Formats: sequence, C-alpha cells, structure tokens
Amino acid sequence: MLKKRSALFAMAMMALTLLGAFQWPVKPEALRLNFGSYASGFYKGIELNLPDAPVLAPAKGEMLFAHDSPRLPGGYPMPGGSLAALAHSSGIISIYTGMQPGSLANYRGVVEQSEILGMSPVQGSGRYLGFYLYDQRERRYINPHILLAATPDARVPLIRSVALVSGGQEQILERNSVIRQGSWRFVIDAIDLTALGLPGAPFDVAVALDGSERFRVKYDSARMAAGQSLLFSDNVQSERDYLLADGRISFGPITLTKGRSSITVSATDLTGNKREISYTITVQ
Amino acid sequence: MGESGRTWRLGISLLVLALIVAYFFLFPETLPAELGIRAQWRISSEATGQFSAVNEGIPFSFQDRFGYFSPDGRASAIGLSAGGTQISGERYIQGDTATNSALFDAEGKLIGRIEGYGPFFVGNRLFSATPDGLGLRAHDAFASAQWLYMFPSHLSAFNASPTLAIGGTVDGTIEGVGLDGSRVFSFAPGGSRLQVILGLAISPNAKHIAAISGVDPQRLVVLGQGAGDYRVISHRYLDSDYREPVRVAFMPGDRYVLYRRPDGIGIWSIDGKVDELLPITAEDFDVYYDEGRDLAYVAARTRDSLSIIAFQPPTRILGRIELPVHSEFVHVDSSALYFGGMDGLYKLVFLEE
Repeated sequence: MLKKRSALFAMAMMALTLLGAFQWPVKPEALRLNFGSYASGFYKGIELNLPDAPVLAPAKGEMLFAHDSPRLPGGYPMPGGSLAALAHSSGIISIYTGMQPGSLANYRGVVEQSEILGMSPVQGSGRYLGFYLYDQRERRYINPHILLAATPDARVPLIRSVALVSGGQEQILERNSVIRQGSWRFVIDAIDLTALGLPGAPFDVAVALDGSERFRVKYDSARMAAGQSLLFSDNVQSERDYLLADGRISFGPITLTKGRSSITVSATDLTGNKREISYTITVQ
Repeated sequence: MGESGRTWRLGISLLVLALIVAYFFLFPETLPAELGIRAQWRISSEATGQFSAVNEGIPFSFQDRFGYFSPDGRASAIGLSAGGTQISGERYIQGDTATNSALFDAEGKLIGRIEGYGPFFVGNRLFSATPDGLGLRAHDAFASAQWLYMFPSHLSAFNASPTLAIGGTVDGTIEGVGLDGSRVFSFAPGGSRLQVILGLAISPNAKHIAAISGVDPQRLVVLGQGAGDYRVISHRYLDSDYREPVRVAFMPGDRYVLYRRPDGIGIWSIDGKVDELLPITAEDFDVYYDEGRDLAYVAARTRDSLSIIAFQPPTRILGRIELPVHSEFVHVDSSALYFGGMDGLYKLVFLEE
C-alpha cells in the first residue's frame, strides 16, 4: 500500500512540477490516437495528424538522438521513417517518430521551447507524427496528456460492450443476463474518441460488483521489463493479458457465485467526462 | 669551440648514422607487398529476368534492383522491386507496405507472409519490428513469428549474431536477447552526462559486444562474455559529439573494434592495448577481412565519396581505390571486390605485385 501511495505521490508531484512545462508539438486538434489507443498494441504515446507542419520542441532540452534514414545501421526499421529524442532537465525524454526525412534539425546544444525540430509527415504518406514522453528516472512512458497543457473536451467515453469470458465461452452482457457460476474474466470495449474522431482510450476504467470496486486502472504510464510490456503504475497489468487482439481490454479473473448481482462499468477521460453502465446478472 | 670538439661531434653523428643503418639491416621490417587491382567482369543492369538457381550466389540489393550473382559472373539473376529489398544468402523479402510483406527463397518461391513491421535480415536471421520502434520480433525459416521482445525505450542501435540480438536504447540501455526470446543481459554503460546508445556491434561468435554510448563525453565500451553475463573489458573516452547512429564493427577474428571518429576510423583492440587511427574520413563504413593474407578492407562512405582502403591490421594502409559515388552495393570476399549501381555490377580482384 505504501509503495502504491509513493508511486501515486511521485506521479502527482511530477505532474505538478511539469504542469504546463510541455507544450503540444503541433496543435492538439490534430490528435489522432491517444495514450493506450489500440494500434497493433498499446500505444505508448500520442499520434498527431497535421500534414507538413513544423514540429515544435515542447520544452527546453538537448538533442539526444536524431536519425532520418529508413533503418538503423543494424537493419532495424525507423518507426515512420525517422526518430528524434530530446533530453529535458526534468529527466523526461521527448521522442518523435515519423518526421519527414531530411527535415530533422541538426541541433547539437540546447534547444529552446518552440524551436522547430522538423516537419510532420506529408499528406497521403500514410505516416503520422508520433510523440512520446519517457521518464528516464522511473524508466517508463508517461501518458503525455498528464504533462501537456489541457484542452477542452466535451466528448464522453463510450462503453460499446461488456462481456464475460470463461474457457473460450464469451457472453455479452445485457441489462439482465443469466450467467453460470464460476470464474470469469471481464472483456470490455471502452473507447474515448480523439479530436480527429478515432477510437482512443479512456483514462480510467473501473468495474464494481455489487457496489464494491473490483478493478480499476488509470492510463498513466507503461514500462517494459525483461522484454514484457507492463501497463499502469497502479494495479499493473501485463499488456499481453490486458489488451486483446481486437482492441478490447480484459480484467480478471473474478468468481461469481449463485444469486443476483449488479455490475457497474465506468470509463472516464482525463477531463472528467464519465460514462457508466450497470447490469443486473443472475448467477445460476 | 676547438678542433677536438668538432671531431667529437662528428664521431657521435657517424655513430648514430651507423646504428640506424645497422638497425634496418639487422632487424629488417617486412614491407607490404604492393597491391594492384584487376577488373574481372561486369554484369549489365539490363540483364533482368526471372530468378533461377544460382549456386553459391552472392546477394545484392540497391535501389529497385536485387538478386544473386555467382563469383565467376557467368550466372546471374537480377530482379526488380519497388524499393530497397532485404536479402540474405538464401531468402529475400518483398512487400507492398512496411507491414505487408512476404518471404521468398532464392529461386523466387513464396515461403510465407511476414506479420511484422519492416522485416529485415541480420546475422542470417529474420526479424521484424513493432510499428512504434520499441519491439523486436524474431521469425523462423518459414516467416512465422517466434517471439516478441519489448525494449525499455525506443531503439537507437541494433545488431545481431546467429545466437544473440542486442538493442541499444535512447535511455542508454543495452539489452541482449537469446534465441528463445528471453533476456540474456541488461547493461547501462553510464559515465556520461546524457545517456544514449549510438552504435552497437557484436562479434560473430557473440563473445564480444562493442558500444558507442553517451553524450558529454562519448565512450567506446567493449563487453566480454563472462559466466552467463557480459562485463566491461575495456573502454575509451572519445572526443566525438555525435547525436546520430555511429558505426562500430568488429574485425573478424575478434582482435579489433573499428569505430567512426571525426578524424577517421578508430581502431581499438578489445583488450585496450591498441588505440590507433585510420586517417580515412567516413560517415559510414563496412569492414571485411581476408584471413589468408591478414588483410582488411574498409568500404568508407561519405556524402560524396566511396573508397575501398586495403590495410594490414592494425593500421598499415596498403592501397586505396575510389569507387563511383553512386555505387550502392559493395561486398568484399577474400581478395574479390564486388560493387554496383544502376549501371551494373562489377568484380575487381586485389593482386599482390
């Protein structure tokens, strides 16, 4: 418990310290995917679509790495054709993928906030600007929305379906469902539309059983350890178990015993817009 | 000064001269044989056609051309593709997009589809990436995915041997991945104000790893395999201030590491006892070694030049030829130099004269 509190406290302190220190590299209206969106896996940054626009340094920093050839010398492909990394004094590294080859600025020393780092991909290239914030001290990717200036958002997250899965059997929940007793996993399709209208991820997803919170995750961070992707700083989930190939998320297991129960699923975005759906189930 | 003083000085001078002459007669140093070069053959880029089996074929790829040719130049197979083709000794990759590609054998027969981003060959193995630049996926001989390994942060350097894959990241970590996809080691060189891995090399037998790491100062670090782990066996601070990938390579035989420097190509023995410089400007380079003659060749490339430099390790330069700058393909095998561009492929042979 103490460890959890420490992690949350550290995150809160960092957010307070850096709040407003990072500006958007391009205008936020270009947000295509947010942290946790499904893009062949859990997206660990944000993706922006503003073709052929200058990409601005989000804060004062120092160029750590820049490469705009299709591959590294060992053959590994550059995501979106290029990669640049800027080290900030706060211990954060901001990382940019997909900037136009040939457009990367050749900084050697300090880069001031708002200086141009390069140009975003051209229209029709099928590429977009990827923006990541990596916390070098804690060795994790941070949800950039926590550190970027907040933007108005009236869109409420959507909960498109909630299902219970056991032994390969999946049962989509309706308002009143009959479930056999036993061990189940929740499979939830919850999204939050991004500024460009694509399905992104909510910031907070919770499940309550009979009014008692059983699961909750906050999309605050992700880290890689021993080759595995681990999500969230509290209630850590293995990406392999949490994120299904169709983009839905999976919690569990939970044991359901005979009787009537209520299930409440909520999805909340960073602005506080909340969607909540309740189901009544009869367990036989 | 008197007459006796001048005689004394003359005597000393004569003695020194005699010692120098005696040194070269008594301890003669073998002079390198002169290296000449002779043209062997040319394959025209017009020689396009269907793939056919090429025994002992050497793979090549540049711009929209790829294929295999035999060392004697008689058999050739040249194909066309939309872009740079990844090719190995037995297989090649073609794809419509970065995420939609397929594996073919050297005769052009489809082996399987590749589920992965930007597949590539290295260390005679097939890998692909995750689209975000964080993951490495290994594929078997039939293109099926074997495992996925996620690195701690974005990759800024990569290399692989037949048994070990190593990734260096923007946060200054090196991680090694074994054949089964499990982590073999994790190491952070440190020692610099800013941590980043800019270059990685692995020796063919995977016993040594070399890295260019950090900013302010930059370092060359050589790791050796210990009991199940890799440990630093030598290192050197560098004067460079690169913020981009830096080529570093082992010379076959595991004696020397070559690395890019602002003033040329550095040569460092893995035990740290040799620290020399090949005064060759190179933004990128490849190194080849003719073990039979103990000769090495460096293909050094800058924005507007491509040179082949023959040298006897560690630094005795024997000869240098300039290749057409548009030559995109260079390969040296023993004393044979193959190179090519849009006008065709050529073979030259280094001769001792």
